[in-house]
Amino acid sequence: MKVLGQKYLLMVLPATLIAFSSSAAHAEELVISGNGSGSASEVTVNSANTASITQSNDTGVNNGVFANSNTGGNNVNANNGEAVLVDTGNSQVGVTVVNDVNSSVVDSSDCCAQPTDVKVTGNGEGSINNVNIQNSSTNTVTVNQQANIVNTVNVNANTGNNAASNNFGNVTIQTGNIKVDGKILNTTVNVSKVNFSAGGLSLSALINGNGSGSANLITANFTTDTIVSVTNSSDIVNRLDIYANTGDNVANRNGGDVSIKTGDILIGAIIGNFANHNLVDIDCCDFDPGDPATPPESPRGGMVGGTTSGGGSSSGGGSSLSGSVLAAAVGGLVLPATGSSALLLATIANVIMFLMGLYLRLRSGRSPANLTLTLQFSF
Amino acid sequence: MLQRNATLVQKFGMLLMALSIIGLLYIYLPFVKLFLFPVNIVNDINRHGYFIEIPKINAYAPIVIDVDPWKKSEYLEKLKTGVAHAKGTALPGDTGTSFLFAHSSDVPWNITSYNTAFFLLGRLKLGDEVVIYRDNEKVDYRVTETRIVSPTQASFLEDLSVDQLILQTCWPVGTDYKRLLIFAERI
Repeated sequence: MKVLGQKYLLMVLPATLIAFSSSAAHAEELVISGNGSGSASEVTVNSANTASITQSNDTGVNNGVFANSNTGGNNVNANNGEAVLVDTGNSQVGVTVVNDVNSSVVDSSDCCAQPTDVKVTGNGEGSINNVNIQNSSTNTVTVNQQANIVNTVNVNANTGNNAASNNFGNVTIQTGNIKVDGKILNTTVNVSKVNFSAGGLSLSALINGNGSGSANLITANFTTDTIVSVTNSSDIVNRLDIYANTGDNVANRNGGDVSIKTGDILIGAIIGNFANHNLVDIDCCDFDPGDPATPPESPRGGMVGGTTSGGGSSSGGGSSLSGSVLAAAVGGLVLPATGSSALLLATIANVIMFLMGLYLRLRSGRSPANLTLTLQFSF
Repeated sequence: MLQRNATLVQKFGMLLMALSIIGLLYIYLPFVKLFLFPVNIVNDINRHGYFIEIPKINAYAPIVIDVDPWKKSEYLEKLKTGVAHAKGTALPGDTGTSFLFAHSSDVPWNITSYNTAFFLLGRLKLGDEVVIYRDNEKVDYRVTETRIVSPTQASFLEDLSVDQLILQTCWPVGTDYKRLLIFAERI
């Protein structure tokens, strides 16, 4: 038995891989320190960051596969004598077409802002110290992908069309089996995956060691808007034409044994289209205020009292995150008082009392004038 | 008449002097007593809880754990019974910064052997020994630094990961003008 096998493999992989890293990092250190009593200090920082990423992929693919397998079309005519046997081999055709086009990767994992360190320390009594931070970041990611794919697969397999005519003897015609396994896979077309996790801000605020009666205020407002827009468009045409024939065998006017046996036809055809894959991965650091630098318990007079809030809205495939930190304190952090000034005051009072008694004891009785003065002083 | 008034004033003066001397004695006698008759440290094998011993100044006192150092009303109450451990810092003997504070002085009627354990803390020098007892476990420290700071200089508490023991009391004794800090590291 003859086996005629043909395999066609066509792979189109014009993938586009772009990794884009966007960095909107900024580092700030703001310090109000060492100002005198009654001073007024104010620092205001306004900053805005804008990052835009655009990717466009446009791919056109036209595939044509034409496979022809033929073991038939045999003619046996006008034979005398011995039995005639026509036995065609099997026909086996395998066609695989794979298109993998337009892959887009946007990786923006380096958008974590550097810590902003704010310190209001060591300022004098009654001083007024204000720090105001306003930061807004806008990240725009736009991905446009267009894929036009035309696949034409034409398979022609034939083991038939055999003819036996005018032979002497018996005629037997046996056709083979036909098995066609054709598949068109469009399972991963226009697939987008957007991972977004953003805080992108880190603030360390410290109000410490300022004089009594000082007013210290740290206000921070971070806003991050991220807009992700992904547009995938695909136009895919698959034409799979299969012609398989084991029949159309003709046996006419035979007088003897004629046997026609056609082989089996096995056709496997796979068209796979993988187009327009997107991965947008924005992984900015989540906001973590961390532990305060000083002991975690709330200090007397308030070291850092704050509220954090976050929320956001999304539109057009984007998202936003905003948060604010407010830290305010009046007075500074004072270490535990483990001494008693009353002791010192009591000592001073006793010393003064002793000196007064001594004065009265020594000055009394010297003269009326002095005595008068002494009495006036004493009472 | 004048003579009688002079005598009266003289007696009044003497009365003031006497009262002032009595007052001073009342104020400082507890300190003199502490100085002359320090607490008798007994090696109690059945002790439970945390204790601090500073052999050089004959200080020995129980440690009150988890006292809020920023709430005066709270720590003043706790300081009546011993040395206070600042809440949020490492437990005495544990890894990390452990912050202990106690009175160096108090009003006379509050002074006991235990609540002014750091009365003589200023006498400590580099290399002096500080002992922490956790039940019967003994952890030895050695003084590495002494520092006098203003009450608002708390930056030394910013990094609590350092394995050290910090003792604090007020300075000079009898005031709350400054803070005396003793830094000790584990031996």
